Amino acid sequence: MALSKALVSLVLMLVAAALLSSVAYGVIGWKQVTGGIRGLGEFILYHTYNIYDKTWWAGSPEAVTSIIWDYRGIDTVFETIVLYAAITGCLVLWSGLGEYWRKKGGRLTLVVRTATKILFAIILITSFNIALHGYITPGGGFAGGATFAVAPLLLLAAYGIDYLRRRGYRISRSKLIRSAALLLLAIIVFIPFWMNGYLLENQAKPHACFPGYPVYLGPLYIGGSLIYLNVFEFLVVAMEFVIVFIVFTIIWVGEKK
Amino acid sequence: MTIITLLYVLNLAVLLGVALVGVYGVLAKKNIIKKIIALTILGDTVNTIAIYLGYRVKGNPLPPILPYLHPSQQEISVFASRAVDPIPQALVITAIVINLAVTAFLLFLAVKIYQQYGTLDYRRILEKMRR
Repeated sequence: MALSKALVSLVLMLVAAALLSSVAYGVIGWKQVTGGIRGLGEFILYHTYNIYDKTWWAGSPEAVTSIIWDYRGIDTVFETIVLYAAITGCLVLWSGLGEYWRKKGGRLTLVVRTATKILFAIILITSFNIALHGYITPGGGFAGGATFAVAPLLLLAAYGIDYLRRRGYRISRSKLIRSAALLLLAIIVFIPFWMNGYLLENQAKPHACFPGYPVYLGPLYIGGSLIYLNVFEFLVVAMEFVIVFIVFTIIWVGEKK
Repeated sequence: MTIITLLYVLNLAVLLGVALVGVYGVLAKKNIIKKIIALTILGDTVNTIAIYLGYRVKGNPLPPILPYLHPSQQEISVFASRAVDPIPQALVITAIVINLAVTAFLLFLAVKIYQQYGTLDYRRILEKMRR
């Protein structure tokens, strides 16, 4: 019995090893060893901010963001929906949250609380910065949202579990904001479609009539649709992470008492 | 074979080994939480491998961000021929968020299982389910 189990584990391990190495080999094709990258990557790097040949450009010097929201935008939209569905599933699974939420938790010392106050502001500013500059610097909606969610977690740890509730925060507000932001994101996705373009079109393309989102707003460079999508994605991800962190903290502290 | 190529291949081999550790954890651990931890190790390692696949081993690679708002034609060409591949990085940020969603959902399920059966050992859970 034990031997057959060990054998099954061994075979599964070998299959996994074979799969992983073949995937790695197939994807690399040992192209890296000779130098150079795949043609698609080079195409995107060449065209993402090519102001001389705007046929395939994305209006953003940040190649990663232009892939996330322009060249492979549908991926990201569905990924957002997967995240949304997962968090909804978590909330449905968890019932009876209210009784834990009402329990009082201890708070930490004055030093920690003061440091948390300072860190809270810094974290918020940093996260807004990451999200709003996502189209010219590394970062974007996901990174900014993940950064943002740490701030309420720190508050919970330093000021006690019921602090946010006493200050008037409700989980339902986070739910409202994430749904509203997802709706706005969907509107940004659909506007080009209604104007004879295709879904998630950012800049004008030869085969679509949509004129493209404005790249400059007066003197300000805003990078087409990327800034709107980044901001709405930031709201969705931040609120979802906040919900997850708060619910986990409440469950954990509630179980212990 | 230059030293950088050697290091690149060596790093890939190490990462594959760590990924195997993750697979082993998922298969062999009895505790559900440890299984979830192994799953996150596996996911993060595979993401790192994916980023590695976009690296340019030869020359001095640049990050995939054009540092000018009014580049000249030549600057764009140099950027395209020297920057690392941005596609794996874009896919990995998607994968990270999906990883988080899956992990959060699994952890919620684990909490529910613990409330129901009072244990996280899957053998004892199976015993209690049979009764």
